[in-house]
Amino acid sequence: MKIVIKNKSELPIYEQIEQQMKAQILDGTITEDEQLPSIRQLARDLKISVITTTRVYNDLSDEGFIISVAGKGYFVAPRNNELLRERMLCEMEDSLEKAVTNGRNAGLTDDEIVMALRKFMGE
Amino acid sequence: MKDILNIMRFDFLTAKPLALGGMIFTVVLFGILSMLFSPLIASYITFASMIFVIPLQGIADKSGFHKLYGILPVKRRSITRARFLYIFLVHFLTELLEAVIICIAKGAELYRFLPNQEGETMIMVKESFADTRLTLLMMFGIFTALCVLFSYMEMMGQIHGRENEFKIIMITIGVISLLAFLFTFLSEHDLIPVIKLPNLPESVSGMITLGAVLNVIVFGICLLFGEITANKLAKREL
Amino acid sequence: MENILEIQGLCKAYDDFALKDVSFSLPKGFIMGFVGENGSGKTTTIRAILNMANIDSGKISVFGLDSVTDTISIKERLGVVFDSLYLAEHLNVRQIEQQLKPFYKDWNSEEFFSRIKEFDLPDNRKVGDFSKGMKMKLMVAVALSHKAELIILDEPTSGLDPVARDELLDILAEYIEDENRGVLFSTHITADVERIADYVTILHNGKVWYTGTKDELTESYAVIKGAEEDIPSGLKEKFIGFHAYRNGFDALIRTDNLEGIPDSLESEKASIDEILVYIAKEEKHERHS
Repeated sequence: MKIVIKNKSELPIYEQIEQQMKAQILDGTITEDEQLPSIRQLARDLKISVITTTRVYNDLSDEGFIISVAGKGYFVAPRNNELLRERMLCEMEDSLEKAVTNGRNAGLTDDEIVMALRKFMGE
Repeated sequence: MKDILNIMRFDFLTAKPLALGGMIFTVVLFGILSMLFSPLIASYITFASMIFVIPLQGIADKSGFHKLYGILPVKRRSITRARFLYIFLVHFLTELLEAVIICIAKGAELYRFLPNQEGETMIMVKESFADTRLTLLMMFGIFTALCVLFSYMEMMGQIHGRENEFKIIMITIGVISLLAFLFTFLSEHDLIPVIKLPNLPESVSGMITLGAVLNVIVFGICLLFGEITANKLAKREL
Repeated sequence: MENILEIQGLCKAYDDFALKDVSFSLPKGFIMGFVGENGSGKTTTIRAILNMANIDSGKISVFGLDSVTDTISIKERLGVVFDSLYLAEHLNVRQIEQQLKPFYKDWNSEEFFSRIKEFDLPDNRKVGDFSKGMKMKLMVAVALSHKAELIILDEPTSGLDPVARDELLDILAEYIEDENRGVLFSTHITADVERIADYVTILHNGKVWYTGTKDELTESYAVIKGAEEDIPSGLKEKFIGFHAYRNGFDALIRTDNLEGIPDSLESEKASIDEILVYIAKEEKHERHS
């Protein structure tokens, strides 16, 4: 597991960690059933508040990415691809919606927005 | 009690690196002199014991010990009391050391190896080796005077602050000189009975008893000064 | 949740300064940043916790024990780091260890010397000749060698270089991994506590201005900027430390007052440092008006 915290980021620290952990769980860097560091270990390693890491683990459990095993700690949840896929789709839609709104606010035409998207996709 | 011993040990370890060398030098120098010329000289070692006491307050101020006193799991009173017991102990141990040196000096009689055995100085040397009472009087006298003086100064310094220490010393010296002058003046004019050596115990053992009593009194004075200081400081903030 | 430190209604008046009704508590297992500008009362509060200052009223408990009557048993389990060294300057680390050892039941010499080694402190040099960072680490080593369950740090980082400050954060992060411990970290360099602190107490003028989790603090306040004529009516009263200059203004505002503000006003989350600055500005206004 690799986590990089940017102090100057506009995103709160807990969100930065959540995003990076999710990405690593999804792309398999953190494998299924792998034991995660404890809340306090993670806080120590990253030199951040225990409350922050507690929040990260709570959020990730709520979203089904990790599970807490009483007395043992936190593990990556067994892959439930359908659920995760749905969630990723949801997030994509949100981001697209935001992108479109921002684009329109900036005065772009719909075509220009699609062009911008294509450019991102490397076409 | 354990606290007090720990603080005394703490004070000793604070002073030791600064004082030990000087103390050893003094003991060796005065030890040799007393063995050769007069056992009486050994009493002067008491003056050196002040190097175990005087630097303490300066170090405490410079090193921020008031903060340490706030952190250590020790009562404020124990810290104050320990300082006074420490002063007594330093002087008392020096006194014991002097007694040992005096015994060795008298036993060894090294003056026999000095040149010019028939000279006038030799007569004085021999006299002083013979007069055990005077030797003991010096030893007990210097011990009493210095130990009381230092615990008095410690009390005044702790209560009124070290900045005033010089003033306190001057006033103390002034008062003592005045009393001494008064005493001499009165006795010169036969207004009070003069304390002469003959008034003191006739025998060596009597002299030792007197010394023991003096030691106990000095110990009591140190405890008393310690208690007064502890009471004065109890409410003060660190 | 059990509190390792709890202060209720602490009052203490000096001729020129007073702590007024200071109350806050630190649950076991967490780090609290204790911030405020110089002279806000942080050190006086810490001195009261240590029973070095006599409190006028209020109650302080540490480990559930009373700070006045149980001060000895509290100190047995307490580690303290001050802004300056409190040890004999002419002694070396070994001699210091000799001195302190008998005072603590749980003193562990092995632990002490392994810390000294870990912190790269020479054991044969006078501690008075140590750099500021080395002195700080020596005090931390002392605190860690008698199994202290609560460490109180009073401005340990003032005058320290960034490397030494970072090292201290490493040490504290490691220390708090044990959930039975606690840390009260007083500082006016808020960057030190911005990341690592779980709780924050802001002291201002002898009073508690905020106490609670750090996340709630940083989420509750924002810095708002823009042109003065764009401020909707009624909003200006909610500003804290309003500051107008030729091309606009800036101020601190509670985030719940941000709803419905015009797009022409920019807002961004406030750092603890910024919060402190605006509190000070607000007070200046009050004094002038």
